[in-house]
Amino acid sequence: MRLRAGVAIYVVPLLVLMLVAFDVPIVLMLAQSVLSPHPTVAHWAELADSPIYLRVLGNTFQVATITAVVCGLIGYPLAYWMRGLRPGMQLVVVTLVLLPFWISILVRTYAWIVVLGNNGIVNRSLMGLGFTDRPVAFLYNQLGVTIGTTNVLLPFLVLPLFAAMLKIDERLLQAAATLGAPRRAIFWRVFFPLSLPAFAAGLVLVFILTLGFYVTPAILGGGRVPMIANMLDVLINTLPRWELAAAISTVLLAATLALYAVYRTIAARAA
Amino acid sequence: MGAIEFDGVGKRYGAVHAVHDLSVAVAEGEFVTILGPSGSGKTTILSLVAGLVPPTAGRILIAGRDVTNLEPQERRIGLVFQSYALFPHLSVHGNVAFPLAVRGRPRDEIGTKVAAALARVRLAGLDRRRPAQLSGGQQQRVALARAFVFEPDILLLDEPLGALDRKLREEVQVELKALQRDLGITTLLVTHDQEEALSLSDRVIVLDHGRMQQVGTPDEVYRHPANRFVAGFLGLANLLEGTVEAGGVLRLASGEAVACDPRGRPPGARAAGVVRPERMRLLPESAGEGLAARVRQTVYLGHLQRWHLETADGRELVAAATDGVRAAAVGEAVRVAWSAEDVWLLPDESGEAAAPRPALAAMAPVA
Repeated sequence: MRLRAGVAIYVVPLLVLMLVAFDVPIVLMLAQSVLSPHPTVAHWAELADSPIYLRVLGNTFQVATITAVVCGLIGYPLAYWMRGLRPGMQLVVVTLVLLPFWISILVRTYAWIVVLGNNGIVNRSLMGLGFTDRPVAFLYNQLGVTIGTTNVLLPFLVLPLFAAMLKIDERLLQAAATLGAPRRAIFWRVFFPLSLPAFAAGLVLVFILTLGFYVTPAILGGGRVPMIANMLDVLINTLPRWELAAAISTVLLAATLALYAVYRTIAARAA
Repeated sequence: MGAIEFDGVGKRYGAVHAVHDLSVAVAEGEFVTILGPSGSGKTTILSLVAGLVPPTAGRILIAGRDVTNLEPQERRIGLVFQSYALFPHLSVHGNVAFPLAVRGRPRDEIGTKVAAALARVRLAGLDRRRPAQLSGGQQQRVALARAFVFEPDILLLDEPLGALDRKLREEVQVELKALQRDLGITTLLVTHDQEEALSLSDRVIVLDHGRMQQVGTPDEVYRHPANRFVAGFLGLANLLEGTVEAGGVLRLASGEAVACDPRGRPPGARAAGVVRPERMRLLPESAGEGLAARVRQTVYLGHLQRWHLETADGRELVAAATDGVRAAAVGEAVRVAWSAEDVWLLPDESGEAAAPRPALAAMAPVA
């Protein structure tokens, strides 16, 4: 008990700081959606009635879903390929996967404009090779936003998945082989199910992280693919409609917490 | 035609010979144990049979079929890993059904066979459990059921009892032996435990440093070891070194004469004889036969009593007898005796290397 009291001396001030400086303001801010200027559900009703807000919410979830799926389609084979490499090569590839983390997201996002623009290397190559005679519109649409979010978030899926794949006991795969399973069956009946919890956790993580993206849709979407964060910017800085922003933030927080619960459940099963 | 045939099989990792020129055949329905210390290459042999590693020399035949270049999938073997390697995401039923399911057997056939296999290893009713919810002994039995449920040609067991505690191990030994006999399946087991090897097998292959030292029935390898390594690895052995004399006598360095069967050794040949502790009789000092010795230590093992003795010339001997035999106290002077038929002269060794062999002497240049 004495020890616990000693620990409490150090922990309690931090807890109080967290509570007063972070948690209470968040709750107060969210509470504006029902308390400002007096107790009301008017702001929530407005949110439910205006198709524009729901469309932005829907658009955000759509981009998040596409990003998660694309990250999964690219990330799973990538992690699987990395697992089969020699340890030295694995280190090199992990570094390459991590490299984008060390470059500012702003720089990377603008770089995409150079690469994917009408005069960018991709379009010039496509036209030069005769695949198309007019530049393909990669930018300022959902495709551009998805390319940007996928690029940023791929490591969040690949690295934990790769770590989980390394932990899969090679002897289980050998056992499956001695029991007569062809390679395809070993993968689908043993390897994939064992990697599935980490894979699912990675997908949920990418989905959650996409929900909060601001810079990428602002630049690569050119304002034509508004996501929640961009709409909040307008509601707070331009209009300003704090009550509505609070209501939308509440929806976002609730969705994120629900997904986080899913993520924790899956991640716990993976461990 | 043997169920498993090794034909000059070798496995090299760089300069290291994990397995060296192994040629031996296992008969249909036979239970053969590969016995050796860790690092002797015994698990490598099992991996070679299973096809998990390719040999660097020789051929392996299973049921007359050359499997040297076949994938594990094509070998029709049931392998029980030391770690069991149960699939953690599948239930007990799912694990045992796995080899049948990947062969595309119909659902009802799988159901019947899995139920029969689980009943055979006394796990009926646990089929919904996950491996993590089972005890070590139960996991071991699931691994076993999974390995024989698809009626493979041979069963391979890699230290299957290693992870179990002693009491459970003895129970499982009896069960395993009965199971193997009922199924009539050719079985190759790997272990470092000599008791396990002696109690389970029809024949034992003793391995050291990747080389087969001896192959024989348990009593052959125990009573008539081929060399010092086998003698020492299969339990305590008293080694008596000396020179063979006419009339069935081994003359020890200390001058004492030991009766033995020279088995064709010419007088004058150097030889090493092995006597097992339980063949040694402890006699009072006044007895007219045997070697004089002093008791240095006594070890009580319950069913056995052991005496560590020291002879006048400093040689150490061990004698053992079932409990209840007259005990000798530490420091007591005794005599230790044995019959001529209990001395086994090691066949391949001519005693100490110090004495030059005639063959070498003949090769020396004539002055």
